[in-house]
Amino acid sequence: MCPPADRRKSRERGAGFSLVELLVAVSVFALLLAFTSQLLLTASSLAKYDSKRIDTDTQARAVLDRLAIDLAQIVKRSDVSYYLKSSAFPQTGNDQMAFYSNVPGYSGAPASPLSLVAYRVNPTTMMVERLGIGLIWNGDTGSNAPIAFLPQTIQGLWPQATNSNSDPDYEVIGQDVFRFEYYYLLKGQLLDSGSQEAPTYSVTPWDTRIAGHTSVNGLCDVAAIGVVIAVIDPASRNLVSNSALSNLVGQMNDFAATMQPGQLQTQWNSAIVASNLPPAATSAMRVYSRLYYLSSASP
Amino acid sequence: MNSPSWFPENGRREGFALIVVLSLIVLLTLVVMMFLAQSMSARQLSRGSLQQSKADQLAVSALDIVTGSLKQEIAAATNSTTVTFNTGPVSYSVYRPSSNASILPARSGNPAGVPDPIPNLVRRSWSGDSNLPFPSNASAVNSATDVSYNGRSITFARWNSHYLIPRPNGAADTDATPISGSGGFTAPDWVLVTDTGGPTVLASPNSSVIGRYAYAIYNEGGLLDVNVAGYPSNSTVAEYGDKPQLAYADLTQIGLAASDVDNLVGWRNYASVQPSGSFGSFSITTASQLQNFYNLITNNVTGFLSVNTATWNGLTDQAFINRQQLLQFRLREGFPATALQYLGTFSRDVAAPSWTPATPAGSTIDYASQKDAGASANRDVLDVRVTSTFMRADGTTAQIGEPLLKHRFPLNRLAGLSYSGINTTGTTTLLNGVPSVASAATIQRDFGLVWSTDHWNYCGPSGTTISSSIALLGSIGNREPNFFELLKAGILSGSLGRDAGSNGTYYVDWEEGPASGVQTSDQNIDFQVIQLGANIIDQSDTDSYPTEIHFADPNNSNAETPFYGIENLPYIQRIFARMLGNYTNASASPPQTGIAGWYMAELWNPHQNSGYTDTSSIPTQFRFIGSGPTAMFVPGPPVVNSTSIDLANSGYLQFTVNPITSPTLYRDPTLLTTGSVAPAPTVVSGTNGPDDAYGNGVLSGLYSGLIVPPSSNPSGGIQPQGCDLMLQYQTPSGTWKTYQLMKNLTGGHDWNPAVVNFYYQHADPRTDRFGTSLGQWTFGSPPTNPPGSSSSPQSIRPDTSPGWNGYDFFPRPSAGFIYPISSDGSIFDNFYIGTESDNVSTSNPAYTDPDGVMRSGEGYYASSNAGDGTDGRPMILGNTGSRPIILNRPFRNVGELGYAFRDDPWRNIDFMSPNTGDAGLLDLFCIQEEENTNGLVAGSVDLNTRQAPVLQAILAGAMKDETGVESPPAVPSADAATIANALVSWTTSANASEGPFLNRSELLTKASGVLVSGSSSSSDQQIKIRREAALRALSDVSTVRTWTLLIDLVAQTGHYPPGATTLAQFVVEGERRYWLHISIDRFTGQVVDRVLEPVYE
Repeated sequence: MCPPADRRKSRERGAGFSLVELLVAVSVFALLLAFTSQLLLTASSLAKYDSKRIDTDTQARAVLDRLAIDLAQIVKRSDVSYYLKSSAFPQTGNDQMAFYSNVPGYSGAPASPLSLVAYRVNPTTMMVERLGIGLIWNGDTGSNAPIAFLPQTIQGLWPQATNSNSDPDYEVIGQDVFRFEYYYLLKGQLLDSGSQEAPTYSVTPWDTRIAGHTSVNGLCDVAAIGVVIAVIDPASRNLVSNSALSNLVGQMNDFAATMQPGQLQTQWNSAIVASNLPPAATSAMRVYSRLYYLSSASP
Repeated sequence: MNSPSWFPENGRREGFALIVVLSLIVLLTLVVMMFLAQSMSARQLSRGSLQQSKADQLAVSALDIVTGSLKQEIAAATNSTTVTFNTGPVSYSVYRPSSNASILPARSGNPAGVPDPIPNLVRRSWSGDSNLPFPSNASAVNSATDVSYNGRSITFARWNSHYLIPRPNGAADTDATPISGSGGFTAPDWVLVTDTGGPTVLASPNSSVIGRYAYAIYNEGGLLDVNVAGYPSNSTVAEYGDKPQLAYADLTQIGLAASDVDNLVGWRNYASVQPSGSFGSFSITTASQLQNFYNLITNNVTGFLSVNTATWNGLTDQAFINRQQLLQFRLREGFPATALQYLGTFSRDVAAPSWTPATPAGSTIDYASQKDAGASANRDVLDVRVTSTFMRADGTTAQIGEPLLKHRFPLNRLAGLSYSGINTTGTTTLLNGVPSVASAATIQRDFGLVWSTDHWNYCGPSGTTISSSIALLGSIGNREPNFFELLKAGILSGSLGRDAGSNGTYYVDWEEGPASGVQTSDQNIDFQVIQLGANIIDQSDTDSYPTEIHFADPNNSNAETPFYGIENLPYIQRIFARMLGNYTNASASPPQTGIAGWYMAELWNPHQNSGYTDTSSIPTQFRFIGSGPTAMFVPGPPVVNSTSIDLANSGYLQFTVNPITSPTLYRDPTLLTTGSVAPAPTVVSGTNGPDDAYGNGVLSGLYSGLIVPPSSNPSGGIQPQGCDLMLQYQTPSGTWKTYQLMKNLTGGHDWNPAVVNFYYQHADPRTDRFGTSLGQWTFGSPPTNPPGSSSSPQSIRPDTSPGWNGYDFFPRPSAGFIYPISSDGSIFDNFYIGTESDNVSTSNPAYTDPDGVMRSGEGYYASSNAGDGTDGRPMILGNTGSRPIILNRPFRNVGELGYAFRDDPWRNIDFMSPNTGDAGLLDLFCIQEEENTNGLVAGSVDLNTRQAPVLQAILAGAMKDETGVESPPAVPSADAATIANALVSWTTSANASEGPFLNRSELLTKASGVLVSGSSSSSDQQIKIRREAALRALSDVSTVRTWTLLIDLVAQTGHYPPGATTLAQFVVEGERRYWLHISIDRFTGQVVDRVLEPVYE
């Protein structure tokens, strides 16, 4: 064994580290690397989580913002048709809606400012699709039709807006939105009798508490339409088949008249957790809701 | 300190450490930067969305604030007299405008000028509006000229993107920049919103500001609702002239070409009209297309709130959803952008009456102060409330405390009545809100009538007992008032029930009184209302059989009293007492010789020959017949009376009148006698004696008997003793109906039967009101000549010799009748009772109504000049154009009620003069049923609009003369423009006697002269039916009840940066613009409808 002075000399001469030093250095480096890697992995995981969240947020925002624009300019008249769910016309599972709105749309001819707008979840692709047909002026020559007033109905004139059939006019606006549900917030109204009807949530777009209110009637009883959607991030979607998503949709309740909106979201989250889908996928599913207040027509 | 042994030392060690540290720093920096970048991105997204959402919330809140200020303005004590009803479960308040000016929203921030440079602009947010009771709270920072810190401003062109503000002459259609300069548009100021105080007036920037908004308010109600207005350019005056709805407003008056209008109508009413061509080149030319449009408009029951449900080629009718769609339509169709300032897409009117009686000048009844008195016939209709719940015709439940009158009474319900019972053809009423055919129940509900074999009984709301009174509005709280009750409520009570004084007695003094006892019945207001109602029904139905309504006479043991509606038929104008001396009645046994007398009838159908739309329902067989006691007498001394006989035994004269084959027969007064009329009447003598005086077919009448006078006193005369002289028509079933009678004729008169005879005359052949007065007629030689214009010119008419009345049997001066007075203080002989049609207190007979007001007759405005002097006076021989009209068709506007005879001599319902007592009817009635409209209708124009072209569009083409006797038949454009400008000048005037209208009725009571200011011919001013043309045109399409406004509001969120020194230095972060179309009931302050239109630019 060399004396320290010799070792110093030897090192200086050899310009190297001893094995111990190297081992220590390597160990320290390994620790640092491990720490850094863990840090990066954690950061990456967090980033991926956030990325998923951002992806679902983006998806949700795209759909909900589009709905906001369409519903903000929805045509509210008693003499036009709506395709909306109601107690008389319930919709199970994913909902559909179709209405006229004062927004641009695709048209094969110079269009009027009005469009027919429809939303649905395509049961095959499990994606939210929007139909936006630009309506031409009445009596104009063109491939599309103008807005039709009652007795013509959306269902009769544009069946594709009310069914699940494949149609080229639909465009996907939420490829990862697999659940779409809506409900109504009915106005609180002072009745002729003097009693005050409280605002209430409903699955029917008219207030059955008021005698004679039996139809949509320009949404005159509806203060707002609430929309709840479930979104899965694109990466996780690869882990789940459409049929599995469809099964999950079956486990996610429809809005019921007895519910408060938060209850629906809670049930949906429970259904997602309880599903037999991969946790990596379920953890990437999120539920969003938004309430769209409609401009009041007859306060 | 020593380093650990394993650590590199010196330079090598330091370099390693540096690398490690730098690596870690880089790594950390990257992570942080990535995080920040991601956060910033998300924040930007969130912030953008948040600001937009905040701007939206701010805009909606701002609109609520503006709306709230309008409602507060209505309720302000300075603007309204408030009455609150708390009797029911809901409190109802009524805000009666305290002045004419306060019927309208206050104006602020407008340029000065006459005419108004920006007629549509009501107000804008303005820092200088502190004079308003509810100012905008705007600060001195302008939305257009004070550019924000980040370069944002609302340009003038943006403020006028709706094109409601006039643009400079010659401006391109695509350039919305409004007029500028001293009379131009000033952009609204910003209202700053702080996080603590909401809208706050600030002088300098403040960090508490979170946003701002600016707005301008336009009177959209003063525009033509393009969802209703406009008709095919090929329509005829018969279609558009009556202006049944705003649809028949002439849009070419506001700058559209005829082709533009056709394109509009073709697009809007596509399925209903079925036009030729396609969008942009529609044409509507065929009779069926024009009829389709007419039917669409006149059959509308939705108040034009929804489009018709017709479909054609798989397409439907259309409506403009909002103003932006109209702007797009204009771009595509190409009509001039200037017209946009006259067009709106939203109009709402509360289709409920708000009339309150006003006290006419000189009235002894203060109607205004009695408007809430329970015993008053004329109530403030807003103050009459439901007292117990009931189901209305519209299917809603009337709640205690709410206004009893929720709707005007639709005159289309008249179609449920016919002379032969209930008309069940078509839907003519509402039952539980559903259009229904009339039934016994709906007829009694709507009219109080019950059918009984061959006539109607007025029984009120229930039961079958004939009523002796019509309920006062204030006594009805548990049902909707019926037609007759509304008539009674809408006509000033003191203008009804005029009588001529008590029955006269021959030769008592110079004040005689009429020669028939009709005072009691004349005084009965309900009698007159029933008669008027029957007259209205017969104007509206298509047949010419009079409607017969029975009513109980409370002054005669509730005796059943029939009333017959006035139809286009002959009536008794005069009864000539024809006497012959030395007459031998060969049929008597033994034959007698003496003075014999007959009643001969002069008949007159004073209407224009028109309106026979149902030619199969015209009575053509008539009888002149009598009943009751009559006699002959010698005045003496000694007085000798013959035995009284019953005129019912004197037979009758049966005659034929077919207005289709003999259109001029009896159109002027014509004696019904065998020698002067063709076809001659068939004389059927009774047992009393011969009805043909000579048996030669020359003179015929009802035989009144014969008296043998003493040789010392050969004069004598007829002495009616309360007999009735009647006209009857034959019903299709062969029954004879007495549709007119000269009632209770009394008071004989004696003259030398060889020289002078006398006659009893009606002031107006259509009514027995005022009874009969006496005149004399002289027949020439030989005495067999019948009385007529050549040999016996005296009559009621001023175009002949005076209808001398002597001192006998005329309406009493003590009853308020005015006569020319001769120099000796007695009544001047030379007057014409028929000039009561003028009722001018000058040189002719005139009278005041029971309330002391002298009201106009039909000839009130007749000129005294030669030539035109006849215009307006219906009694002048051959003066056809001034004669009344029987429409014989459903009413097309409420103003057409002015065609209905009021049962005062020569006075129809008066919609032409300021002293009318009938103006309330304009507000209580409407034309068409409204189904499920909740009391709202579209297609009404603010009568106080400042847009003269809008009124011009309504007035142009308005029918002046249904029959076309006078020319032109319709109001020319130039006249319409003059009237429209005069109306705007009136409603915008600051003069105390002028200003905005509080009610449709004020068109008459205050500004009737304005309505004829543009008449291009004197006859338009002098003839009643022409004088009312403008009123008719406006009567159903105008309103003052609602404030229908477009609030153009821009809201911006943001803040003032630190260091900002001026209010302009606002940092804009989000923006939202809305056009709020809102309608507020001026009388309740309630928002009755609103449409929020987001504006995307």
